[in-house]
Amino acid sequence: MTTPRYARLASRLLARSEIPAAPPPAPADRAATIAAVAVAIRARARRQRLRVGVLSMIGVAAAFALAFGLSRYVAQQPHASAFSGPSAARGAVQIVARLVNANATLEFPQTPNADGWTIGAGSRVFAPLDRRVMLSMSSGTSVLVHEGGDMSIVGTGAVQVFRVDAGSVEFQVAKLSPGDRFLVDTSDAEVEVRGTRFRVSIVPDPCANGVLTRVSVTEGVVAVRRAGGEVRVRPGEQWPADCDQAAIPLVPASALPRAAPAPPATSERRDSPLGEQNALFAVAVDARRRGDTSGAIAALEQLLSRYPSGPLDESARAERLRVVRAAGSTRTPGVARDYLARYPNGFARAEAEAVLAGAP
Amino acid sequence: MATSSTGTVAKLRLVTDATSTPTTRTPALDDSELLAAVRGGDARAATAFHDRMRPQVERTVARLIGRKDADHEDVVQQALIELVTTIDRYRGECSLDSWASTIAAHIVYKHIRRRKVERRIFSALAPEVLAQTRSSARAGREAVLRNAASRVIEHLNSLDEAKVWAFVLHDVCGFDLRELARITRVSVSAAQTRLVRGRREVHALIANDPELAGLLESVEGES
Repeated sequence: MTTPRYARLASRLLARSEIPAAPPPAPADRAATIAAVAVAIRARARRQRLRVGVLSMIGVAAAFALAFGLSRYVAQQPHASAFSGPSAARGAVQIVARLVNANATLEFPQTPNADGWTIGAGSRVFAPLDRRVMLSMSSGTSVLVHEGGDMSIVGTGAVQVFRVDAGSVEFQVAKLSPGDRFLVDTSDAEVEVRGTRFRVSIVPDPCANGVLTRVSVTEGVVAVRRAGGEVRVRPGEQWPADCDQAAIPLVPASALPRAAPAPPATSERRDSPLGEQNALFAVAVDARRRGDTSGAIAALEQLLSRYPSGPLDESARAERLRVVRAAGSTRTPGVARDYLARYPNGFARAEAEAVLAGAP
Repeated sequence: MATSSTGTVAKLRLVTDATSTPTTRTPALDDSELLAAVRGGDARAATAFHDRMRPQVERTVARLIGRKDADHEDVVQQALIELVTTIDRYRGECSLDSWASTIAAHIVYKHIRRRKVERRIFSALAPEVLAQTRSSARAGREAVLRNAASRVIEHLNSLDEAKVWAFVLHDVCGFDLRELARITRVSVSAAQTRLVRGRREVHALIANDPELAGLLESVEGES
């Protein structure tokens, strides 16, 4: 870097100036400056301590987060559940049944322990008409068998299989390990879990295609297979899509009842009131198909009067609406109002509203 | 030499000046101990640190803005505080004085740029410093030097501020390129660019002023 000549001469001239030694500062200035320096030293030390403190806290927080993450990861592994012993090993998910309320009916051979009743493949669970049964699995999955539900546990290994024969069963499935499957069988469909929360219901009134199973998904995606075909059902969707959901409305997860230990009652399934309700409903449907409007209405009225809060109440009221509407009865608007008053968000709401709006 | 008959002998002895301001002296610390104390947050080292660093800071500030500047004492204090605040950045790569000088120059640089008026470097420096030029020759000779310096400063003040800073800090005050970059908070290559352009422009201005050019040539020839 060659300096141009005049720039060099100018800098030499200015650099010739000599800065004489400074006279000692005035005592007041000196004292003030020293005090300022002391304050700066202390402030710097404080900042450094703070920095060290913050870094320590960040370190502790990071360690805690790591530990928490690891514990969550371990907890999600099938082997690391709260259940111990050989039955908790991979391929044998342990299931503990707790009665949501007394008088639920459980049918399984094992005797209860302190947590509930440890059940496994081959067990069958029935819930009475006014009680629910909660199943807690070592995998983290929970199953709620709704009132009147009939569910069997077919397999608890890497492939967990449940069979629903009646009523509604709500599943909240924990994350599956690679290679694991979670299946729900019904008489006419197979539901495979891809997501976490869904409901499988068996209804007495089949769709036009004869399907009795209803699936509604709250979270995630499930695959429903029937007659060689597969349909993906996403959150908010129902299967079959073109069929009314004659099932009990979904209960939000937060509203799921907590388990309350109680002794199991004896079986009373076959002679239960549900059987009578089903029979009355079947009579009504059969009468409607035969064109016997009055017979259908009589059966439905009988069902509604005898079991006003039974699990088929909504279906019966919806069916009654369809029957009176098809017959052109002057009662139709009243029946529609009655349905909406009881089930403002029910599955037949659109039909009832259409009636009240004057649609043909 | 008269002596007393009694044979007493007058002895010289040191007498402290009772009127002078008593100054608190702290035990001398070497640089490493001083730095360790400040880094460790020991406020008792404040006096020693002040006494050790102030002369260099004072000299740098005086060279750039002069001692008569109204803000001189404030700038010195600010520079000393900045030394404390940034002490962790001193890794011993240069002398403690060089580092103090760089920090002080940076404070002056920032200070002048913040000013609303009198933002030009050397604005306060010229008359004071030039009065101290090292001319031991005749008064006339000193007047010539002062006149030449005055006209150089006048030209500098007409140039771009950033280039003037680069020229003054590097070529007049003796900071190297890295220090120049640190003082003006730019990259080394940017500092170098400014310096090169600044020199070129200074040269061009003086070349266009034949009288000043002749003056500088004569001063150079005589020195």
